Amino acid sequence: MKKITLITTIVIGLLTQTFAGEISGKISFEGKTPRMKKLKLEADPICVSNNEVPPTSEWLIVDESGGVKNIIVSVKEGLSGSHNPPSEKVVLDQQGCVYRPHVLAVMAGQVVDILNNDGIMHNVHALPKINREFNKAMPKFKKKITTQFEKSEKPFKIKCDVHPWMIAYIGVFDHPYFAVTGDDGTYSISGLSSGEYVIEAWHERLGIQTATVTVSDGATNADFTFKKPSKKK
Amino acid sequence: MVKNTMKIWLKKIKSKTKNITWTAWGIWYIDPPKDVSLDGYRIDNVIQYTDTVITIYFSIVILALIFFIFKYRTRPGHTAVYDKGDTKKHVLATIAMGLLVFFSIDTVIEAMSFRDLKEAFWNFPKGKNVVKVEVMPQQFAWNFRYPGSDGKFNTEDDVVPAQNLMHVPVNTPILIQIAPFDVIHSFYIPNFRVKQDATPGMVNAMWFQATETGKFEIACAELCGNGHYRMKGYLTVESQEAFEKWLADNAPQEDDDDWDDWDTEVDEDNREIPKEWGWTWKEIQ
Amino acid sequence: MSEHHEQTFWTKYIFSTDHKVIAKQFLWLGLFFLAFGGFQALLIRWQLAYPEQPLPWYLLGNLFYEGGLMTPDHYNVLFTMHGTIMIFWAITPMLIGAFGNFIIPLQIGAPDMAFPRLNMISFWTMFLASIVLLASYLLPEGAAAGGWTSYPPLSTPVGGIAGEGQTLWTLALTLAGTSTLMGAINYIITVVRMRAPGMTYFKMPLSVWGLWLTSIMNAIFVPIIAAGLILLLLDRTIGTQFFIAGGLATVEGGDPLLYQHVFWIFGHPEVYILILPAWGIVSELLSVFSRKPAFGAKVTVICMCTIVVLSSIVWGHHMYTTGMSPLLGKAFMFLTLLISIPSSIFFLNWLGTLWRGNLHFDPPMLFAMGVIWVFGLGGLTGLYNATVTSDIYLHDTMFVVGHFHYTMAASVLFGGLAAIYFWFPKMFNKKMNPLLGKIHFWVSFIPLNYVFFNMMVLGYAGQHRRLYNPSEYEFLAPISDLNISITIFAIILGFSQLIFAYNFINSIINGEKAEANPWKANTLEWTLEGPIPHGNFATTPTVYNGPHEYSNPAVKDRDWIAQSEPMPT
Repeated sequence: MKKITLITTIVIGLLTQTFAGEISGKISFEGKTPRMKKLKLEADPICVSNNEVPPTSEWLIVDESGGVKNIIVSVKEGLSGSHNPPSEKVVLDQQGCVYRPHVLAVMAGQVVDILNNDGIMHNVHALPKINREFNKAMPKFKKKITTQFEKSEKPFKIKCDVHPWMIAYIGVFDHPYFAVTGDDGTYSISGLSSGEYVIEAWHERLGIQTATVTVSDGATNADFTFKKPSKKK
Repeated sequence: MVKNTMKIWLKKIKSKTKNITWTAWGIWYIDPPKDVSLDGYRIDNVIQYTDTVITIYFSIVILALIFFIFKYRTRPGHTAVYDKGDTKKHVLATIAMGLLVFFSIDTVIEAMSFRDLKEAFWNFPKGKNVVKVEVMPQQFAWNFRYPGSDGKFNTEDDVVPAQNLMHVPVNTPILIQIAPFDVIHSFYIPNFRVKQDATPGMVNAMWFQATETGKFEIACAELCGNGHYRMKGYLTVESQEAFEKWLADNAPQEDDDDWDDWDTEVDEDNREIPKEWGWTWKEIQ
Repeated sequence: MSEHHEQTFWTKYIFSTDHKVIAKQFLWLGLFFLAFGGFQALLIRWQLAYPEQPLPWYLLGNLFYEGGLMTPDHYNVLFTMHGTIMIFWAITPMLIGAFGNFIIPLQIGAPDMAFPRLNMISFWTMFLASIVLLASYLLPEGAAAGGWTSYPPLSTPVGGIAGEGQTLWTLALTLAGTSTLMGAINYIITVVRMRAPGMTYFKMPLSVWGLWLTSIMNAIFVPIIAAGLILLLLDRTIGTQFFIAGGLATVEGGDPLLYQHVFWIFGHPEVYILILPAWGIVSELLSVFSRKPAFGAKVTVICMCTIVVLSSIVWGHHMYTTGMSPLLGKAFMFLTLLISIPSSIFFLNWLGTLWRGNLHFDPPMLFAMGVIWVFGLGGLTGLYNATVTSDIYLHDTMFVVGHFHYTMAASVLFGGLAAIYFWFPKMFNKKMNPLLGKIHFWVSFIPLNYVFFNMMVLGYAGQHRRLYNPSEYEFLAPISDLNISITIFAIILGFSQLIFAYNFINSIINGEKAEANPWKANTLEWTLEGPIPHGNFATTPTVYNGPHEYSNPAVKDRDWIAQSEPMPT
């Protein structure tokens, strides 16, 4: 009796331990943040009228606590096995002549719906280096196109050729262990088994930072701090 | 003697075709957009002169054809005249008619065009009141840049308004230099009868002068991709005061921290318009 | 002398070296692509007339585009492929490939082309080029979309057109050029070396002159475009930057303008290449159906030769707005305008042929006279584009489109149709229905004039080219109704070609057997009873008379005498 209980306990213990690891943390910015300039939407009058609040540039968004938005944190090394893309679709919307969201992370093979609700032509020009480049026009009657990125690739740009200020970034991964920070700069990646991992935090202009993390049962913390880089020589 | 005859002939053409507004014969029956430029009339003149003469000649051809169809149609008893058309008389007659066409249309429009090139299109304005603008088309928008109060381009006080919106003062020569950011585009303002290609690797110059105020459309006249049809801009012609106010409104704002100077790890495939346009104004001799 | 060798099904019909079979192969290829390109034109016209509406059922909209609505990238593919296909896959195979092959050996009294196997290879190279071109439609990013002129940097990888459509286009065009070169060499040498005894150069029919001069131009200029295309292909595939400069270049030294020069040094002669066969054929047909010698035939030949020479030095008139120095602009303008002189002269010679003739209005004659009309208009409207001043406004507008459709599409097409109606009895030994032919002429002539004349009106009103949606612009508001009516007439023009298609195919299958010389024409091919055997003439004919020997008073009982029949004493 005791033996069975022991074995059961050990087995249950092992099972619950297997994918219980989690990495979480916060990305902060040190230093004075630059003013994000207003986008000059008057170049296309419909863009102006489609926005209630004039949008600003989004390349560095820092909140009062110093948290940086739109950082992609992903696991770089330490994973094993293959992972299938989820069936949920990811949506990239073009609304008010701005891509929403500004930064996306998807799995390889995951379906991405690109929507155009602006009533004018946008064209979606993706500039990956590994995946297929595409350049698809979406005139006003074309409200949705669907695409997939087949291979994993570090974040690359998607832009609209008709409205040159419209830029989004998309990272493609062949595993589900990534997250994009929200307004407060925090992220959380769960479902990892114990072990050592290298994780990386990417920002569109400030570069990439890596850290080595040991994951065991429960949450492990990994914070990143980005600083203003030095002046150009 | 031939040279002198030619000189007199050219002089006659130049004097007779100066500043005439030919009434259109109406063969192209939809009017072009209203011409509000100083030199656009030259283009309308050449077109209308050509219209007039070719209408006359083609009408003769049509009448000849109709006449031949009736007079020479096959019918019992009718035979053709065995005429090879190779006698001296025939050959000289056809050559003479060919030369008539050449001298009545070709030489005239050529002389008019030579004069236009010299007096207007390549006669770039100089002087203090000339407004200089740099135009940089990209896929698929127009970028404009004004030199600001220091009169020089590529300096801190350059005025870069929102894309696609160009303002110029009325009755002032506007001197433009144009080079594209990516592929070939063409700067076309229908109401001014101007069109100038922007070819990568070259800086082209053009100029125009507006005679009326108003808002006019700018279009791209060289295929540049799938947004080519939508590459529309607006040229606003206004009074000198309104123009200066607009320049002041669009002057660059003070930034406490200009990140364009910092060494950031920017994506190398960066096709956003950089602060430096990569080309500078060329002084025209 | 006919060669005797065993002919299997494959060597007789598929890999035949007989110029008459190869001619028919080119004809079918050309007619197929004419229909394909013509259909694309209707799709383009629909988009211009009704920019926001889905294509109708009779234009098979739902088959090609989701919901029958095309996007701007589709539209760019449409006009690119329409232009490319019409020029290189419809006109070239039909006029030069088919009629060059059929007419030249027969009219000069030769048993076949000088190089029959090269001839066969030239067809199959063209076939391969067609496969490559059509394959580009299957690519995920679509076929080429840079315009038929394919200016770099737009047509290079940095220009933003994703996918390999442009690469396959360049490859297909290079193959097509290779096929043309092979044909050119063949035609030139055949005419120089294989004329029957007595057939001096000035006794050659004008159709042969047109085709021979075209071949000389092809031989000189096609290698130029091939060079340009190969450089473009290198830019697209291995990362060279011959034609890339400015912001997108990573190395110095490329120049997009270089491509334009190379392209138009070929491109301008190319338009004369396309029309010279039609000029020759029309000169001949006007003579046959007026029962009168071609007026001033020698002068016409000299004019055609002059135009050949002049056409090689006028290419800059396609580039007036590129910022070239005014001296160059003036030089090109002067030389381009000079071409009016020989053009007017041989045009007048056409009218001279009709003058005092005995006019028979059979379908070939109707089309030949139609060429007089459309080429007259087209040639005269070239003057606007030759002059720098007017070209500044009209460059890259629909005016240019109207002008070149009058000269290339209308003139060459009518010349080609005239040729088909004329030589059909000799090619297929059957008769075509003449009434349907006459109806075909009128239902083509009237809509065609409406469509292309009004395109020039659109251009003068300011509508620029390659526009997916003209309603974007307020200055184009006055022309929206005209765009609609042009489209309606274009659709009528397109569908009325079905009359011709029916007549053509039905006559081949069910037509009455044709006599040897239904038109009472005097050139050598009409002395042969159909079907013409391999090797053409049982004995080599001797030529006594000039071509177009009609209504000669020395011939008493009829109004014609064959070239190989001695003149009665």
